[in-house]
Amino acid sequence: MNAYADLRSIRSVWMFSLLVVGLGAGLTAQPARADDPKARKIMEQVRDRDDGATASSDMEMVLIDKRGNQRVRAVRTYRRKEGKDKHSIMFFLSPADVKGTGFLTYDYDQEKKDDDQWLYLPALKKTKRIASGDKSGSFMGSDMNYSDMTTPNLNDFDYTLVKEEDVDGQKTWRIEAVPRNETVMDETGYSKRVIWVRQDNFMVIRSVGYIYKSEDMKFMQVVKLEKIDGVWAPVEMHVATKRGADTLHQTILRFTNIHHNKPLPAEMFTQRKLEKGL
Amino acid sequence: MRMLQRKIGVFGLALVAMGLGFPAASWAQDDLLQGFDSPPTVSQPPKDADTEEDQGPKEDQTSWVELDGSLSIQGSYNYAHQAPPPGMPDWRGLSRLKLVGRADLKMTFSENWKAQLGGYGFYDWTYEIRGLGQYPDPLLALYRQELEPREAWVSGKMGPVDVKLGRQIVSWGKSNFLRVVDVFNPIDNREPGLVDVGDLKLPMTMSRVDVYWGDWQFTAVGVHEIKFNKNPVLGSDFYPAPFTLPEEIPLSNGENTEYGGAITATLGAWELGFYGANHFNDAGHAEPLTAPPGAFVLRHERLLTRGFSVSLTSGSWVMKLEGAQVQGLTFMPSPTQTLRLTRYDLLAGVEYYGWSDTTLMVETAAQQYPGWTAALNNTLEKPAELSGQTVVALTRDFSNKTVHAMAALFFFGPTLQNGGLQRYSLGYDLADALVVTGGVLMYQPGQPGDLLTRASDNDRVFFDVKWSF
Repeated sequence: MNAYADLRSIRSVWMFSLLVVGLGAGLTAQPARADDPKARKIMEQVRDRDDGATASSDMEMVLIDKRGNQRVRAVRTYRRKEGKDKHSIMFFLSPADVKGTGFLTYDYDQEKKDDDQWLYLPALKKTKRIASGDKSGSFMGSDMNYSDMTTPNLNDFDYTLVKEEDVDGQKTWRIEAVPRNETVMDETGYSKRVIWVRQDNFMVIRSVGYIYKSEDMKFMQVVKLEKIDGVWAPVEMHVATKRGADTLHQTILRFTNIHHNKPLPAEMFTQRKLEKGL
Repeated sequence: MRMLQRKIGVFGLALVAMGLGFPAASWAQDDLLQGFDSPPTVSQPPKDADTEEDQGPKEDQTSWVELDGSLSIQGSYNYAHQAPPPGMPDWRGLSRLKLVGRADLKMTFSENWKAQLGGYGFYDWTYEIRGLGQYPDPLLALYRQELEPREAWVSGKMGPVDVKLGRQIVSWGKSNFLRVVDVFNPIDNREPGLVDVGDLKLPMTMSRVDVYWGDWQFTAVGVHEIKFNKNPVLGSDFYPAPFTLPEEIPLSNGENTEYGGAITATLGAWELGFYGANHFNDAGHAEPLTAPPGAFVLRHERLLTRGFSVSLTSGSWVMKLEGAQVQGLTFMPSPTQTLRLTRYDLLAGVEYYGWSDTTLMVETAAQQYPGWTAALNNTLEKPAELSGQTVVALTRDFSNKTVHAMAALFFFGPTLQNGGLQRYSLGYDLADALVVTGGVLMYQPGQPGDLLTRASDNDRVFFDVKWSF
């Protein structure tokens, strides 16, 4: 495998234990609508919910194509809050041709400040600085993209509370998120997203993403949600890319060995650690 | 044509109207929840014992010894080669059919101490298939088979200090393709454009110490093994001359130890690096001998390189700049005349990540000899006063990253007039860690006498089936 060809798949990685199933959304070809203060308030509570000062987990992704062929990816992830910023590091465990690859991200709270990202490529014995402007690329070949995993800038979207409804026996708010400009659509890869937020814990448990400049849609759902170390976390998720009723590709994500608020030293989130590996 | 399009469009609309042919373009808002399917049933991973109990983050619970590696079958076929002069190997048609393997045994003794022991080897059947007799022995020795140790080191961490001893690779600078300050490890250049990126750099026995202080890193390196690039030899389709030079390789002893240091820092979006190295010239220089007349020997002189690197990340862009002053470059127009020159190298590059699943990289580098004189035209190397290289590489993934496309263009000369190389490849993931790649490599001739002009009939198609474990 060519290391440079692989850059893109790895650079769009973030911290899956923080997965919020699309707080934000792409963009819109629709007329701008007024932002709904109640919907925005809910989204702020989603953003600000307690996700732990630190988190770690093992993630397995099963990628299934239209013909049922399966591929499996495994990653170990760590995350730590640094004030209002978040530092995360992940190490690829499989498949064998990307094993040892590491990815380090500093996600800044400041809206105008780009994330800092570094990628360690064991084949090159080198840490590369990666730009984080575009977030629409597939994450490791899955149905997720980078914007699905990052905390969005709420000011990039207009939120509308569509209605309240029961989903899997839970009371939820259905909220529509529409990007405020074309740039956000392009960067996130979505023209609109509809999300369902549980009213009891402010977790996003489902979302539908309208893929920008495409008729395809992404259906994401949290299949299993658990409270671990006092923090709600998705344990299993299902993401399907659909064209109409046809499923084009789907991904099953499973998280194990999840921990929150356990000690993780700051030096864990450095280029030095990235190159040393696990 | 427009009428045909209109007919197709009307036909498509009719199908949709009848509920035939195409699915609905999207889901109605009220029906969105019906779009969620139950996840398909897939096998569950075996549960580790440590998932049953809360043992804290799992950083140090990996196996203490692991074996990683790969096996690949590689082949290439020259489709543009000319018939060789009498007595020289015929490189038309099959030019490579080899099994390549590498294995690395990785040991983790504790959180701070690790070791690795690696090996690499290949066997190429091309020469048996085409007849061993037509190939010179030095070529067979270098191209037919190989088995050698690769990285073999032990590393330790003591507070802010890291130590790494043994055969290893040191990568300096920010560039991806062109080397300005990355001066230590030689490369495998036997088949330009065809060597797997992971096998390109050759490890050397070194002692390395890194000290970390905030955003700064201080590195000291001593290189105890003197080794140079693996270049094409006489008889190879990439060897441009009808003769070869005897080479004097300095002994790997204390007197010849190469050494260097680096200071690097990450300051927000900026990354800085300052480098200094006292090392041998990989390329060396041809020294004319007084007797016999016309004879040469290739010697590797000592160089002093001082350089810097800067990179800035902004939005979807990474911009890079590298520069170096190289002192001590030796050229000999005659057995009695030695010229020692200083060369200045400058590299500028950009990487763009703003397109989905796509990366664009461009690097261009220039080399200049301020002390250049016409006497250098009498040397075997004939260095140009100003030379340059440019690389443009575009990669894109398709179909959930199961298909990998790459186009890379290499140009030589300050105005790209000295030839070039085009490499196009397409890879497909047959399964996890099993990738098949095929492509074409085309060489553009430059001006008469240019290296690439003499090797420009090496156009070939190639394939690579690689299984990693």
